[in-house]
Amino acid sequence: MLAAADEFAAIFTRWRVWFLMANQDISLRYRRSLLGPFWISLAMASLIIGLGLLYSQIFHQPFKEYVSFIAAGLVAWTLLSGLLLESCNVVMESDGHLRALPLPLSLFAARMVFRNLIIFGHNLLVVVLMLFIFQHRISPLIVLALPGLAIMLLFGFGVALILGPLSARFRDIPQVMASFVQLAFFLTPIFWRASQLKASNPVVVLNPLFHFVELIRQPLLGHVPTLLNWGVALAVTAVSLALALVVQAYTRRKLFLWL
Amino acid sequence: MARINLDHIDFNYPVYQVAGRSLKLSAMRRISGGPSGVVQVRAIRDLSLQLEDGDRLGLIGRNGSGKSTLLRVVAGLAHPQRGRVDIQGRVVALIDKGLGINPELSGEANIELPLRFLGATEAEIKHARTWVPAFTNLNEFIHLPFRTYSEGMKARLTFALSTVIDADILVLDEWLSAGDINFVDKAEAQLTSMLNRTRILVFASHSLELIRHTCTKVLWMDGGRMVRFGEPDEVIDEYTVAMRQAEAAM
Repeated sequence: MLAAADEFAAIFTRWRVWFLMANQDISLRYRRSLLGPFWISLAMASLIIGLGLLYSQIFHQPFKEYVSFIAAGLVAWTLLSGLLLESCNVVMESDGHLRALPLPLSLFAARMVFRNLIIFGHNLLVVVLMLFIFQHRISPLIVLALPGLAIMLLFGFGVALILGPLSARFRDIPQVMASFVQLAFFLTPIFWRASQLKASNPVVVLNPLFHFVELIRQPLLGHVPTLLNWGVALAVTAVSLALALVVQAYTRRKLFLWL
Repeated sequence: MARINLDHIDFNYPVYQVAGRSLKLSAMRRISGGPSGVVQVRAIRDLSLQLEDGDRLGLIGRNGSGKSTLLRVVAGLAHPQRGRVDIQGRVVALIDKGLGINPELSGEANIELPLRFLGATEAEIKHARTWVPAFTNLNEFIHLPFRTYSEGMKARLTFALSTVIDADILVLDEWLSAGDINFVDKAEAQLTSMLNRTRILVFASHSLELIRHTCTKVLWMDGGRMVRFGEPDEVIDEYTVAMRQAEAAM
């Protein structure tokens, strides 16, 4: 357990490794394209406008208000789902490195988290711009999204250290996860509102992903997340980090065999 | 002071069949019984080894005799299932060629990450930023993407990146040689100076001559076991005879 905690600490002592890797990941993905990483922003903008136009009609919602809601929700969801999906690949996408060098896995988890944070930054640009266009003002409460963001990133880090090694051992976990995230997208109130269901509906209250999304979405829309949102997100994150430590302690010495 | 102490280690590789890789099938097997879908390959068996400052160990043996696995044990990658491993000193493992090089980036931009992977300090990276371009003679090519380089230029850059930092314990697979560099003398000199700064070398190669003149000790492995361990000349001669006999018997 101590050795596993030691590996966690590598993200501070060797931060440049994950920092460089994540930056290269992004620049590699968008190399030689005209807009570069701003393709991320453009894709997000078209998704928000498209969904906004369609669902504001289906749900009979005022367009401006609905599009802001969907923009704030999607940017949070994109980060969360990116973290969950890419968690499964942190070991497999770096198997060459892990086979040849004794690098702590935490560095690869941090690289994945940071890569998603860069994408989030590009998306946020669009969302803030849209909020400004459609709401004509940005509430100072928006800074409350920062602690929410930090919690989500920590959660992603924990999940990566759990699912990364397990996916290397059991190669069907990424598939299971992909189906799960897709289902979760429909079950989590992103393009529909939690208030459209009864307040105590378990699909909303017992869905930890909803609480994570709220931590970022509500501040963007100028509201304060509820205590329940904070409580659930913090508890789930704490559990994921504790579990990550256990998985690390158990798989650290065996990981090499699974590559 | 650097030290390597391996005490009766055993290392097995599990080889997973497709079914052994599946969570669903593994879970079902737990419940219903049946074959595990995992075959164990014994890569190192009951091997003990002590090395100290100044030791240059050459590993010889046929393909699949366990040399590469032993390199990975010393590098801290493979953890033996049995026995004790005690390694003291800064280990630099040059097992895979050009790890961390991004072909889309320029030579210049490719200096930092490979060295960070190997555990280079800030000072070493600062030094490498000026030393690597000078040593490789890439001139203006240092600003162009790595993928545009000729094979010779690529070899020069990977060689420079591999030899720029100091190790207490250097773990070396056979790819690193001055041979494919077009300024052999300069590269030989660099390799020699790097080896001189290294306290312990663990080196696997098929080139018996290279081992004879680089190493002070030789370990001959076969089937994961130690066959002979001792002076290079003795062990290599014995090995050569054994190989000839094996060939004649075929």
